[in-house]
Amino acid sequence: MALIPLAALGDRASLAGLSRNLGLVLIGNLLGALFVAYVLAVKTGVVTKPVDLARLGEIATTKALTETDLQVFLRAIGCNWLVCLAVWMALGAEDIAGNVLAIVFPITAFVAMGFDHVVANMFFLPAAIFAGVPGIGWGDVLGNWALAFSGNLVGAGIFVGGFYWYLYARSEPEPARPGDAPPASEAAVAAPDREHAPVG
Amino acid sequence: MLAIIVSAGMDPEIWGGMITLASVAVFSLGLVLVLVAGSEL
Repeated sequence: MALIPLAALGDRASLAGLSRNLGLVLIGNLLGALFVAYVLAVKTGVVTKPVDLARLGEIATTKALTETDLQVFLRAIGCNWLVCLAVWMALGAEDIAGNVLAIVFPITAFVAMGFDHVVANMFFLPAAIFAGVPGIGWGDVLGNWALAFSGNLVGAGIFVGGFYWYLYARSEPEPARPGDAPPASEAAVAAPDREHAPVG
Repeated sequence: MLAIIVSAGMDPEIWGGMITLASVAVFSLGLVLVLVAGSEL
C-alpha cells in the first residue's frame, strides 16, 4: 500500500496497475486469512478451548463492536503508517538480521496500541464468527474491513508513500549555486560549435 | 492465532500489561516471517 502508490506518484506505475495490485493482494490475503481462521484455527480446535475462545472473543468484540467507526479508521491510519515504516526500513537492511530488527519495533508498537490492520482483522473477525463468538455478524465484519482498509490506505499511501515521495523521489531541478557549470543549453550558446562555424 | 494462544487465560489483574507484551512478541514474530519471506501485505 505504500510502495505502489510511491511508484504511481513517480509515474512508474499506473492507477489501473495500482488498483489491480491492491485488489489481487487483498483477495489473496482474504483467502489465506479465511483458510487459516476456518481450517487451522477453528476446525483443528486450536482456538475453541474456553480460555482461547474468551481471548478471541475479547479481541474480536473490541474490534468489531466496541470501537467506533472513526476510531477504526484512525487506528488503521496509525497501523499502516507503522507497518509501512517497518517495510521501508527493512528495504534498507542488507541482511536478515537487519530485516528483523527493522520490522520488530514498529510492529510491536502497532500491536501494543491496538491499532487495526485490515489483513489481521481478516483473521480475527471471521475466526470469531466461525468459533461462535456471540454478537458479531458479517455486517460488522464487512464494515470493519472497509474502514480498516480505507485507514490503512491513507496511512500507507499518504503518510509513508506520499511523504517519502515528496522528500526523496520527487523530480525537481536543483537550484544553481555560484560556481556551478552552466546548464548544457547555456554552454552551447556560450561556446558555439566550432566544427560547423562559418570559416573566415 | 499465536497471539491468542499465548495470551489466553492470563488474568488481567495478575498479569496486567504482560498480556499485551506476550501478544505483541508473537505477533511481531509472525509479521517478521511474512515480510522476510517476501509475501505481500
